[in-house]
Amino acid sequence: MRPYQRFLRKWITTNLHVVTKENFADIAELELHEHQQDHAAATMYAIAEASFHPNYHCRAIADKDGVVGFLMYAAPGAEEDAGDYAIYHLMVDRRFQGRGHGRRAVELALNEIQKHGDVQRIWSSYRPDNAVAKELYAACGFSEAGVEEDGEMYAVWSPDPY
Amino acid sequence: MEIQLKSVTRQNFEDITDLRLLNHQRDYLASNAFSIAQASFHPEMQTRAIYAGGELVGFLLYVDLEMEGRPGEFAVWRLMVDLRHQGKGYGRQALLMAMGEIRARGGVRKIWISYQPENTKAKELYASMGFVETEADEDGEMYAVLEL
Repeated sequence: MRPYQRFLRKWITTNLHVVTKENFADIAELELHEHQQDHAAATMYAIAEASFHPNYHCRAIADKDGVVGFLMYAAPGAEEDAGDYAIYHLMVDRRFQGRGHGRRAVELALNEIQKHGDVQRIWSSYRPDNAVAKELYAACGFSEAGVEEDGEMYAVWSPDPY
Repeated sequence: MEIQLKSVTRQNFEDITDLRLLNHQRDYLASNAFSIAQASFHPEMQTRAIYAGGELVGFLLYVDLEMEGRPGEFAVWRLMVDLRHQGKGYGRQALLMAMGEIRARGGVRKIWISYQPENTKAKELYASMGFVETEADEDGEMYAVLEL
């Protein structure tokens, strides 16, 4: 861990909160940089989609003052392999990027997902040219598994077998 | 063309989020994904997909204002018809059907609707259906009401 990351750990709080009617409006107002705009629309889509899929779990990423980002994770549905979980739609507001919130949020999500008890793999995906996502997931212990037909790089995390 | 209002479900919601508006209309109302997401936390909000002859053409959302301390009052907060299906009268028919659903609950005294004042198509449509303009809020959104 680099010194500035240690500093961030010490001074910047990151929590995951369940998405509710109280924090929904704050999530809707999260902003991204121009080149990240597709992800901003994806957040509302994700919350809408999750309302029809009880195995999708939406989480607000928050610091001590309020909402700074969003992610969703999916437990395996009827069509997926048992034990296969996935993290989707990770985003941190452009005003709060670069403070370690994304990485800390993924670590918190990994912890929360493992409480489901039957986890064998946790998947994530990103565009192969998204260097920030690539580094973030690698730092959280994900290994790249390859680019699929949809053009996304899939990366996978497995729990320690011991 | 027969118009139907149907529930929003996991089968049709993706197509509803793909419905499009003309460029200048996009600022008139929140996206359908936002509306469906918002309604999932508000049981007083009802979302409906608009179908014409079995094809998905639009979306609307209405809300029971009782939880805001206004019993007997409802509001249609979102109404949109996809750009490929505008100008065919579907919005009017869908709104009439939504008003029918609302009135069927009984005890309804007022139905509100709101729009951006520069949205002349909406303004004319609602006026022709008997909605009377009241005033705009601080965000500039115009509110019109139909007294039953």
